[in-house]
Amino acid sequence: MILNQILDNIDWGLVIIDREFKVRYWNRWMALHSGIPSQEIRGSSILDFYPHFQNKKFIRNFKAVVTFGNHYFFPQKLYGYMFPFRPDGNFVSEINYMQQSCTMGPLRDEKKVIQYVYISVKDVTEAYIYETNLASALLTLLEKYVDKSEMPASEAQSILEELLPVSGQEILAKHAKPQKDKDTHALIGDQLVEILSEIATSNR
Amino acid sequence: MKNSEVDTIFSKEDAAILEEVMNIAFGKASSDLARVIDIQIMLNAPQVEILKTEELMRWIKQDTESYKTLSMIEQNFWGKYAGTAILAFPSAASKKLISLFEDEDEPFEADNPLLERETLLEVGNILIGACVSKVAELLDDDQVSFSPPRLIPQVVVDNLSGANISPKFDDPDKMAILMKTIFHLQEKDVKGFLFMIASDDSMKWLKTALQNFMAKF
Repeated sequence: MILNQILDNIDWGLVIIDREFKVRYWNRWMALHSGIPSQEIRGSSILDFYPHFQNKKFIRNFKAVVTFGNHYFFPQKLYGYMFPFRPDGNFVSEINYMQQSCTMGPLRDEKKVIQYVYISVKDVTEAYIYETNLASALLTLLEKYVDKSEMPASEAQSILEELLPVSGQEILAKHAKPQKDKDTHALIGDQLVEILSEIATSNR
Repeated sequence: MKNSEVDTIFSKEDAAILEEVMNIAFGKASSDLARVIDIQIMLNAPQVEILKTEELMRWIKQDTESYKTLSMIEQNFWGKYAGTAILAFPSAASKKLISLFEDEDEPFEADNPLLERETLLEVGNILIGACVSKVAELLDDDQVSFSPPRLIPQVVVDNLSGANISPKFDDPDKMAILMKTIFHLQEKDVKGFLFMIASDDSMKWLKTALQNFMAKF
């Protein structure tokens, strides 16, 4: 009983599904953020409510969890979110969906046989917005220095690569254009615009 | 743990039993990987060594010297059986490993480094999870939990050091039990190494679990 109260009061989402994908537990956090009450979803397949889980990657990793007892991690940087929930009121103007970091792992019965899989859901929207704003402020600042010729573009580029989180660097790499087409100064400006537009249009 | 302590705790005979356990465990892991996830993997007969961290790096270097650069997926596991697993493969084979999970209907977007990184981590997570879990399960029906895997890309083999992998391997005098196997993904023609390094804390448990395992026969 106390355990149930804890699970219903923690600031995390917790879902338990069985080997047939049927929801066995849906904590209060999930009910509040999804708008789906526990009694409505319990006993139904999670694939009926969230059909986007019906993909090879999810099914493959679900099988790995129930077969080997693996854990699988859904990092925010790649997935953005697993469950399409509205973000908390403070972030509604900045982002469409709550950013989540999720983990899927095994649950065993008393004979140690894996019967269920849990999915924990952590809201990381605040950290994501903070990181994004920080990256954007850094880029603006560097662009200003380069514009005023107070810093060589190459140095700005190095700072950018060193300080931006890995995902930011990968976005940079993805969008980098051949240097012969543009001078480095213009390149940094372009990358700034592209990174910001990537963030703005990521629809997360 | 000091050298002498390991000698008294973990004997050569224990190492031989552990090799046998790993052999059975890896056989089960590879058959389940083929049956459930459609990954055809061959795991060679494992080798177990008790050595210093310093020697550990020399071992890895020696095994991988034919590769110019090495990519590694490192994942910590914890339970009664705890430690670090490292899946090491030639960096040039990354694309082949990624193609393991390529969906014919939705081929991978070229030059998407984030997706490539995450797919490599997924491959590592599944292979490491399968092998570690089977060893733990066979030894003491132990349940292992995992931390998120980490990709260490493009390490030049000549420059390989404990610090490249994890601060916990940076102490040259620390002792480790190294369990090594060569994995071979036949369809993709990819070969690499899986190293499992048991933590100090799990050595005592490992020895007892091995004795209990042998007592069954």
